[in-house]
Amino acid sequence: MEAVMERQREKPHVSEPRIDARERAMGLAKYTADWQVKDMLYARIFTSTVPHGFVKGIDSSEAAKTPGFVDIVSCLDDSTVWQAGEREHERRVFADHVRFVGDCIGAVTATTRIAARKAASLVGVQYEELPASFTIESTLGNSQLKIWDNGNFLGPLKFEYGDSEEEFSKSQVVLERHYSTSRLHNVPLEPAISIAWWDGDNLTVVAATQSVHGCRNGIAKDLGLEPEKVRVIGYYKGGGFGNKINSMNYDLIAAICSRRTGKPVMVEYSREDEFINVHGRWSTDQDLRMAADRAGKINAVEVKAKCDIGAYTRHIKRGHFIEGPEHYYSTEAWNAEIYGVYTNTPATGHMRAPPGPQSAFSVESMVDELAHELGIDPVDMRLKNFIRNPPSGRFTSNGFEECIIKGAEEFGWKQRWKRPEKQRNKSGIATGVGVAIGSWHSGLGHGEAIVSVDSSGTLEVNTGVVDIGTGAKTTMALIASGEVGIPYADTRVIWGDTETSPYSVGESGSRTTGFTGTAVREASRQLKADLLLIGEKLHGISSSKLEIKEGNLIRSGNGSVLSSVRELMQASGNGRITKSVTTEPTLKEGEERFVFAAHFAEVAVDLETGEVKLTDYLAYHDSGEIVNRLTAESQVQGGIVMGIGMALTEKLLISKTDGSIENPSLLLYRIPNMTQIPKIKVFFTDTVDPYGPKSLGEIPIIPVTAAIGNAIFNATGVRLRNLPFSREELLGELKDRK
Amino acid sequence: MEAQTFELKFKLNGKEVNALVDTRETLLDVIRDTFGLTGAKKGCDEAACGACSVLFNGHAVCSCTMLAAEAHGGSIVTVEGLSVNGEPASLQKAFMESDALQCGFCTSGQIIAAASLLDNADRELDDNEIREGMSGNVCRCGAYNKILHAVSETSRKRKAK
Amino acid sequence: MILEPFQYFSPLSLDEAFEILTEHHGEAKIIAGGQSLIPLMKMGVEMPCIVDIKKIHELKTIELSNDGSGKVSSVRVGALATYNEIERSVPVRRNIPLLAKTASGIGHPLVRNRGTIGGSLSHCDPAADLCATALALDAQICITGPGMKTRVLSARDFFKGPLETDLHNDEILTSVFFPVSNMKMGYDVQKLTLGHGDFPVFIVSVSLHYDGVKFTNAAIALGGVGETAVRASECESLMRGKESITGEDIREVSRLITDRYDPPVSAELSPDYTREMLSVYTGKALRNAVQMVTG
Ligand SMILES: Cc1cc2nc3c(=O)[nH]c(=O)nc-3n(C[C@H](O)[C@H](O)[C@H](O)COP(=O)(O)OP(=O)(O)OC[C@H]3O[C@@H](n4cnc5c(N)ncnc54)[C@H](O)[C@@H]3O)c2cc1C
Ligand code: FES
Ligand code: FES
Repeated sequence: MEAVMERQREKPHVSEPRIDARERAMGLAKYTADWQVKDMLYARIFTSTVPHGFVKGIDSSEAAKTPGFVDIVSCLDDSTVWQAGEREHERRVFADHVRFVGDCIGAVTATTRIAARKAASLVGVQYEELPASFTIESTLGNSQLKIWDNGNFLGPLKFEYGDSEEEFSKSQVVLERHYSTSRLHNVPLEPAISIAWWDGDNLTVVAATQSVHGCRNGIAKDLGLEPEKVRVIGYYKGGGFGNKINSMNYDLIAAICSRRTGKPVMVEYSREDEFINVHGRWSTDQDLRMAADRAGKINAVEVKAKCDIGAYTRHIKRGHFIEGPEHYYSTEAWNAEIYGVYTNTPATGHMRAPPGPQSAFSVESMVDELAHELGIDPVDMRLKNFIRNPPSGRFTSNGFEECIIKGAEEFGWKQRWKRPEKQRNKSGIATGVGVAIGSWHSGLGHGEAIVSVDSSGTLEVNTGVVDIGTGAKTTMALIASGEVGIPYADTRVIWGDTETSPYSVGESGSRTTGFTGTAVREASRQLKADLLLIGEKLHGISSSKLEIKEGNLIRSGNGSVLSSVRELMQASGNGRITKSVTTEPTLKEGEERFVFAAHFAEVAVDLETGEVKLTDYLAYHDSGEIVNRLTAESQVQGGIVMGIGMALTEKLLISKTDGSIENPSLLLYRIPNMTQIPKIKVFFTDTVDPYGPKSLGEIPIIPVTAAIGNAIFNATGVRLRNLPFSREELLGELKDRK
Repeated sequence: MEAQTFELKFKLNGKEVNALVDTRETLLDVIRDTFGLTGAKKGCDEAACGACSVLFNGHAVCSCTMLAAEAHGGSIVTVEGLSVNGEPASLQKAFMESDALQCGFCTSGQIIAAASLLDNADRELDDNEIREGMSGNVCRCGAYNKILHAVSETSRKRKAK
Repeated sequence: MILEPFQYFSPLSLDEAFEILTEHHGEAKIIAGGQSLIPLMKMGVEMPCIVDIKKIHELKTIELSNDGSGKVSSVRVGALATYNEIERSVPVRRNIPLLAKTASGIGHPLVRNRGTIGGSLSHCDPAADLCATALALDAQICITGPGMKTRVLSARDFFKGPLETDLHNDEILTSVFFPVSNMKMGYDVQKLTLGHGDFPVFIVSVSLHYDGVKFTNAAIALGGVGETAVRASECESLMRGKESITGEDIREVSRLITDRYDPPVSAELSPDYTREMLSVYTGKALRNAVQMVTG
């Protein structure tokens, strides 16, 4: 076994409760809906009842009679473009060309929620209907259809290296399979909401956003304002998982309605609105080919995919609707051709590792099929093929092998895995185990932070993070506290307001720790250097022989305490020392930075009903240095829980007759509850990456569906290739084989 | 029909309170808007998420699926009412220490459901009883393992007393 | 959000309740746990007058009632008993454990702390858990109307159709009597749901009595397979009076059930699968019930 650890870690593991755990546990944390703003009005959207058409007229006479009615705005009098709402085309906040049932046409403002909703329900809209499509096939097969003037699909996006044809023709084993995944929804527990008010030309928005600065910049751009004129406040958020990124249309609607009425306006989506009007995950139809030699070396992979991206799709990097597995395996050739196909159905966009789990599902299922075909243990199959370095270049750090080997060990894979035909089958219940691996980006980029210490010795970290549940505030505090040497308990954070905090990318794309965290680290180092210099002056000992630990200046070597940071500050005569830092770390030529994981699942299948129960789960991750074990473990478990939903229960049901969502309700769109979740054990490698902690938020969801599907195969010998796994399909296959 | 009102009186976190409410208002709306206690959240408004859980006469219920008027004469405890002299109760501390909260939006409801479960149990609960007992409270952040840990620790400690 | 305004009354006695019901005849709607009614109101169903019966204390009791000889003959469950109270009630657990078990599996705990037996039976959803179990247990339903006119009818006669019962607008379901048997009991309830805590697609409730020699009573009630919950009488007669119920008997009954009953159409499951599951879940319920008696 090669040395898998680049460097051994030097520091002890940190495991601290969240810095704001108290506020959250006591019900004191103030989310957007909890703001009570004086004289606030409520706006309620009204939306299209046809899947595709032009709005020809709007009758607001009945709505206006509702007691409490204040104002109505629609596509007839406002043409603001929501630029972040669709990358390739122009998406208006209020659509005059409606593209799905539920497309927002306008909003009614009223004095109470009830009045706003009642009035909005009374608005009459006339349409000129257009041909519509609700499936990939019908979009591609209908020449009359014009969802967008310049074509109804994006792509093909091609990605390739090596000579696929050559590899396929010379390989001894070639498999060809079809896999599909369903449309999903992020379902943050806090539905979309925004409050806006104007003070002259200055706009303030209390936003449920994953990024206050992204939100501010988006709003400013769309409303034609200088960014400085827009203040976005966002403290506590009830999750987002990618659907509260940057500026959202409801932020713009709140701002527009507030400008028209001169009063603060709250736009509050119901759960149903959230399902219909805020984007979720696109579905995929994937044809895969995989070539290997008899010893199990995978030579080439070919992926052809079509994805249902709805009527609009939010920024997805260069149209990458399928992406990732080329960074799991070293193959001679890789070849992908991907289409994003528009349909007259609700929008799609970011959801936790946007293309990640769809892509891992197909590839990791197929590698399992290949292993079975070749008679190779699935863990060995991965060990034979996992990526050590990207095709051209090298990883900054790579703990993949450790994840697979140690994960298998901890799980007891060797004892638990038997060939499917040999699995235990006790009184109608079959159990089995599965493995899947995955990798994900870990970017580096622009970060800003202000770190200071005051005369009382309190450390203050000021960043523009929002903390949607990732623990970002805690992470920033721990980085600073660890670097400077002041106890976590004496650390405060300032966050979540564009007026008071420097820029941060916010919580999306697993970037906060890598981007903003790097700036915090740098600022903290500078601050510490200043403190040491003060110490040098005060004690006449060279700063190179001094350290700060637990809030005290100590002498290196013997560890004797010389003075507290508070005393240092008082001696310096400074009320506060502040370090304001901007970092722009970049990778060296040829470097790529990734995180890695191996997941192991055990299922129990009821052979009479086809019902699948997850009974055990283990995840082994390389995310570089882990700033806080406790919250990192929670992030991983959370991603896995969402993956379990994707595997077993979650699916947006899209109507065949009008493309509407048939289950826009938590009673019908089933996210996992506690009874469906087994113990999830989480381990981290001690990999140290030269650029600091790597990303963590997204990768946990990536391998889950395949790990479960592979376990189902191991238990029953039945291979399910469509998500979510259907117990009906499983039972049908079981019977067919009898 | 004109909006109808109701003269509502009940005990809220131990204090007698009253308000004139619209009969259409749910208990959740009144607790949040009229009394400014925003710990309970609206995640679905259809008894499907548990974020709005409050204790009504000692049992956790969905305050979104209860008319405010139905609370008349009863006793309501919200998450804000669990703390003791401004300090978190032991159950809340267990949530904090176990990291049984991520975004925190479900947390008030989880804690209320756990309080109801534990207060009404006469013995230490096993994991599956806790899972069933907490099954009306979803957590999209997926903090379930940690929530289970916090509740089971508290159950164990209470039993030990 | 409820958009339509309504009047709200909360009478303190049955008399007062009937006064209101009579005065607002045709417009008044009773609210008990509200776990079905409030969702309907939020969907926009107009209910101009809501009569909350929860302040009428006599509707809350769960108690044993004796026959003349002092032997316990039934358990009287007040209409306002919540699922949670039923599940925890000692008289219920001891004498009609199938009822406790059924109540403990309805929806999720937050609903169980609110939903009432009276509400569930009056709402009469064909797949409601308690409707099936009330049938399986030969429950007697006690109804009171204006002038305190009281009538008692069997669950079978009470259920009339989907969301339709024998109740008149101005009547209140006051309590439900469950006969108690002193024989050995075997029982189970099994249901197909699409997720934990979901409303059942269908439900099978089974109650067996065994006198030490033979099965004196065998009840199978099905919910979700017709207009109301039903008793599968033709299958019951195959088991009643038998000294033992074998695996083959159970298979036979399960087969017969799938032949005779149509499970509902669901958006996510095919009719073939649901039909097959009806037989599988019936089999599971019967096996468990028989095992309780003999195993
Ligand atoms: C999330 C959720 C999940 C659920 N899951 C299930 C499930 O799995 N299984 C299941 O069976 N049910 C389920 N239910 C429904 C629940 O059981 C309801 O409680 C029940 O259907 C109605 O009882 P209630 O006391 O809430 O009645 P209410 O909602 O108050 O009333 C229902 C109807 O009955 C009438 N009524 C009520 N009481 C009386 C009375 N004493 N006399 C005359 N008329 C009366 C009312 O006028 C109304 O028409 C679920 C509900 C929710 C919200
Ligand atoms: S808001 Fe009440 S259960 Fe979701
Ligand atoms: S902590 Fe976010 S939903 Fe539970």
